[in-house]
Amino acid sequence: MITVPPVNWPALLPYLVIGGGGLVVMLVDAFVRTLRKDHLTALTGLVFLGAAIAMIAVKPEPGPQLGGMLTVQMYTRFFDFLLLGIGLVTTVYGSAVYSQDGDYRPEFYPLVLFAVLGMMVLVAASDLLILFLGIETMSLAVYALVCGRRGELRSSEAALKYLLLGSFASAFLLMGAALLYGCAGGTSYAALAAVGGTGEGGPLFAVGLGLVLVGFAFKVAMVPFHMWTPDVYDGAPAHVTGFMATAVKAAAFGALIRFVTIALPGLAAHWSGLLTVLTVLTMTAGNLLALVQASIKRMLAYSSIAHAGYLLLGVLAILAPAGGDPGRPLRESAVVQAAGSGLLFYLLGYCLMNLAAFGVISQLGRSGGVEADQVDHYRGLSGRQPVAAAVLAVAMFSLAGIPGTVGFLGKFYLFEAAIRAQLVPLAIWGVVNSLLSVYYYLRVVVVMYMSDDQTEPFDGRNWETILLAGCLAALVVLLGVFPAAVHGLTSLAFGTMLG
Amino acid sequence: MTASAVPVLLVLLVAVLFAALFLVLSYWLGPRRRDPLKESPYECGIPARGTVQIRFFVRFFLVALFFLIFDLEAVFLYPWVLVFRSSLESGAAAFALGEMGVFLAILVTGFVYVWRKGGLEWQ
Amino acid sequence: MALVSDHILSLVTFLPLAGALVILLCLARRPTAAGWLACGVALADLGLAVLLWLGYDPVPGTDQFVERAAWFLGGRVQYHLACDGISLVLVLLTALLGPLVILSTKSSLSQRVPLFMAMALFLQTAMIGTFLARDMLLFYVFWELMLIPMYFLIGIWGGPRRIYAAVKFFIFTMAGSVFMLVAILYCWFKAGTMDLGAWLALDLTPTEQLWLFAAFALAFAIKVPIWPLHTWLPDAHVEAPTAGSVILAGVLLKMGTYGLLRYAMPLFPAAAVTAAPVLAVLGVIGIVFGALVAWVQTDVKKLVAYSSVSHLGFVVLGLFSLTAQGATGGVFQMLAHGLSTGGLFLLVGILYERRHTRELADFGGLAHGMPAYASVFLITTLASIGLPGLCGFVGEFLILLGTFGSSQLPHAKLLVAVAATGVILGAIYMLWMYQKVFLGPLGSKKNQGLPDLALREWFVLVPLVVFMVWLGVGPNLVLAKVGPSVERVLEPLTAPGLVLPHGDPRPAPLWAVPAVLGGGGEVAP
Repeated sequence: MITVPPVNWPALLPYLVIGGGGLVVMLVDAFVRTLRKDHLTALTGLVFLGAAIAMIAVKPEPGPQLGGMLTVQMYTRFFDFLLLGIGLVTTVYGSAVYSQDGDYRPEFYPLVLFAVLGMMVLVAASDLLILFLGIETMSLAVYALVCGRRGELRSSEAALKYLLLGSFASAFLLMGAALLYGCAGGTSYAALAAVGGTGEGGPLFAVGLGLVLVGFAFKVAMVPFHMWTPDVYDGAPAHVTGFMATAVKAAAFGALIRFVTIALPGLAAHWSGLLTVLTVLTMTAGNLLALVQASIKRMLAYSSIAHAGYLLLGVLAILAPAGGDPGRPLRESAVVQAAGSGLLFYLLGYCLMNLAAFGVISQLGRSGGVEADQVDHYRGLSGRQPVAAAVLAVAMFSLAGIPGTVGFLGKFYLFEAAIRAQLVPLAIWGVVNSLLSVYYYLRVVVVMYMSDDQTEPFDGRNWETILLAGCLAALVVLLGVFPAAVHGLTSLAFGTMLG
Repeated sequence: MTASAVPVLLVLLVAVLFAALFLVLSYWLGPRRRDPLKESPYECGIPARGTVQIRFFVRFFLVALFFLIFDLEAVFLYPWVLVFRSSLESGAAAFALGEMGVFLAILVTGFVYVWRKGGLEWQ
Repeated sequence: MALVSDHILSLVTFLPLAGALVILLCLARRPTAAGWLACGVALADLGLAVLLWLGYDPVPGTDQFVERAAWFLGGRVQYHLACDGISLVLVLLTALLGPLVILSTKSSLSQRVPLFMAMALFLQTAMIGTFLARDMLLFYVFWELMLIPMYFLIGIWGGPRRIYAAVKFFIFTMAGSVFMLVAILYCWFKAGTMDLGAWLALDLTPTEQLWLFAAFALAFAIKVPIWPLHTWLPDAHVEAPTAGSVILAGVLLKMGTYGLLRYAMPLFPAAAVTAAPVLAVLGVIGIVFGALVAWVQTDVKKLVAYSSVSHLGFVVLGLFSLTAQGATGGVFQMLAHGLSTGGLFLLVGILYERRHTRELADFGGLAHGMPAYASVFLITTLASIGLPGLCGFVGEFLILLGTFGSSQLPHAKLLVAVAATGVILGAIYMLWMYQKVFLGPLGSKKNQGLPDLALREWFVLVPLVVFMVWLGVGPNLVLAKVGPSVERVLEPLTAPGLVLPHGDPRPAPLWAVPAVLGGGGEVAP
């Protein structure tokens, strides 16, 4: 017997716009022979803008959609806007790169759109099936994006590696979901919370949950599931790396935060021990390995692992049983609220500074698609491209968590929440780690400003990219000085998820 | 649930055991006389030519992929047909038809894209 | 004018930053214009600082010109600036050195002048903000922001090992301040606000105080730098350009002692009293060690750098004498050291511009060719030594006097005796250096025909000399403004009901402190 769930079209409109827009872009590319790549860029940009306008203009009743399969609320809308923004920026970066290299890759545009669609669905998922659907839609598109440089071996190798390991992770996730279905009799988060809360799940439930978390751990690049990150980040073209470092991570964390707060509230005690170990490992390994990298993309890959560690600290603060009292509902805990809003603020800031950095990296290169991917390639950049160097410097200072940038305030919110959640040693370890990270971020600034110029300098080739990256860097500073409004927003957004 | 799995396991076990048994028996009992002709790979009675690892034209892979993608849609259609019968009675037929329509439309879009991009041309 | 009078602290803080932004955005390709604009902005800032000085009412010694606004987290973190006597003199010192530094670099700098000017102005904003902030997070932001421009000043325009020095400077200072950040977060967790006033009223157990004090003191001790954390200082000074050295010695080092006085001591009074003997001894070690090491230097700049370690040791001793007299002397000494050592670095810079060496052995008899330069150098040297009648004397005298009369410091008289040898050693190495450089016959041919002070250099040096003499002759001008504020700041330490970590109201003997630190295992309440 089939029952038709009520369909709330206004709530689903943004997803339809992005998905339909992706199809349209594909067809336009296939049918219009006289197309220039600027047209596709503009069209893709319009789709993103259309989705954003759809979200602003049509305000649906928040709540579960399609029979509880996904939930549309301010929390998901926050991520939707973030992901649309990242998608738009990536489109501009990408089209600039392709126009420089003369290597026209029209499939880039629909792939970004489909990836963003998958991410939006991923964050909104309230059911393991939809979660899987979102992860796969996102991942398949990103696998293809990674081999964005036709004929370059490293790029193909990275894509293959990512595909294989990603498939493993998906299989784990699916296996876990199957076990959870067996235990809970349903795949919705609510069903999981009902079983988990009573503690009747038994060992199979725990194994299933563990497998699902492995799937998440892979996507957010948590140690020890991080092995793919440096190779893939290094092999992918810089604008795609930026997309992966920001959008994929933001979406995966968005979904993870929702999953642990909604599906796991009663199970915190079982998982916080394991997660603590993984958090410490993730932070430390990321920072230590980043110290010795010569490639700027690999360095940023390890740095993104370290940042995943800081974010996990926030997740732990959410899990720390509601301020010491396991019986209290999460929404009454000020600690959970602080940790959650801090996480969202940190993610936003993290995306801004990474996008700014990858913008500068993607526009620097030589003809024939050679990227400036070594730290040494940035020697003397401040003399040749003062604006680009300043943008990269701001991004590096922000990633290092220097005050006056959004990176500092993000860490402030997170560590503050961690201390309030009684995670003092972890917070201290996080602070020590961010000191460690200063060294490798500074190295980029050192080569740009203090080293002698190169003999064969790389050219900066694109002013649109620099302009956009400059705006992002300005936002990094602006949010670092005036965080109140945005933090209020993230606080509100996280509050809607708790209900 | 576990009880019902026992016969299946038994069948599997018996299958594996029998296979192993005959392999071992033929290894022990079978007479072996080596000569060059017997050592050479068997290819319909004629001498083998070339190497074992033959390289296929890459188009074969593409065709295989397209086949997989568009064949799976048929697999998806089958359960839909079964459910559709019941949805006729519950009055959700239009919705079910619409959903399948959207699904097929997306597939057709993909097909058209492949066609226009020259994915179906042999050369 | 209401705008100026109501927001004078914001203006004095952010005017240089505005100038820096204008330079970066509009004058990035016009070095001359950038230089003049920077100079003008710095002078205007000095004008504002003088207005501040004139408007300050010294009698109550309270925070004045207060500016408060909610910043974020619902006003629990505030934009809160205020100025008391201690802040006042240090802001004035910063604002005075600013234009001098900019003026002094106009000829020595050949590349990336606009960036340099912007960085110097940016640094000035951060420094003044650090002195005026009364919200802990705001203070921390300014404190860390100082690192960035200084890092660029050393790293871009410094000497041959500039990158090593810049990174070492950054990492050392950052390493200290992250622990301070943890302590700040802990206090924030206890107090629920970042406001300094609320923190002063915080009721912390003695064990908590010890840990928090240790975290704060570590950050400040690295900045001062207190022996044995001083190793970054000679590297940074030697590699930094003249302007960097002047600001580093003149203002940045005072951040450490200022932080000790403003935050570490009054916030955690019991711990401060307990740790005072340790820090006082470290201060004395710094005095003697700095002097002895300075004595054997062959590089003039390194010599002056180590003399800073020695002079700042006096300040630390003064602060941890736990007397108002000693601490006031400490603040005066900060000012005096800023003038005299800042002056010395400027003078060494002038010499380096002419000869491109700083080795003592290369010089000799310079007084013949450059009499004016030699005279100014002599006055500055004597001020640095602490000759009565010049600024250096008053501070050191008050510090020794205060320590001598300290009731809370064990073996105070012994400490004074050892510290006093530092004064003598100071006279020895400074005069020895002066003799090597300026007296005797003109040694090398390269030293002949060096031009004497130019007009621009006169403009830079005369204000410094004037202030050195002025403060030496009429120290009350400053002491009257500083004294009441110091007494107010030290109030928590002299409160009668102070409970010390080991339960003994008497100051701990030296050897008891490590046991207490080791015994205090529990941090969480």
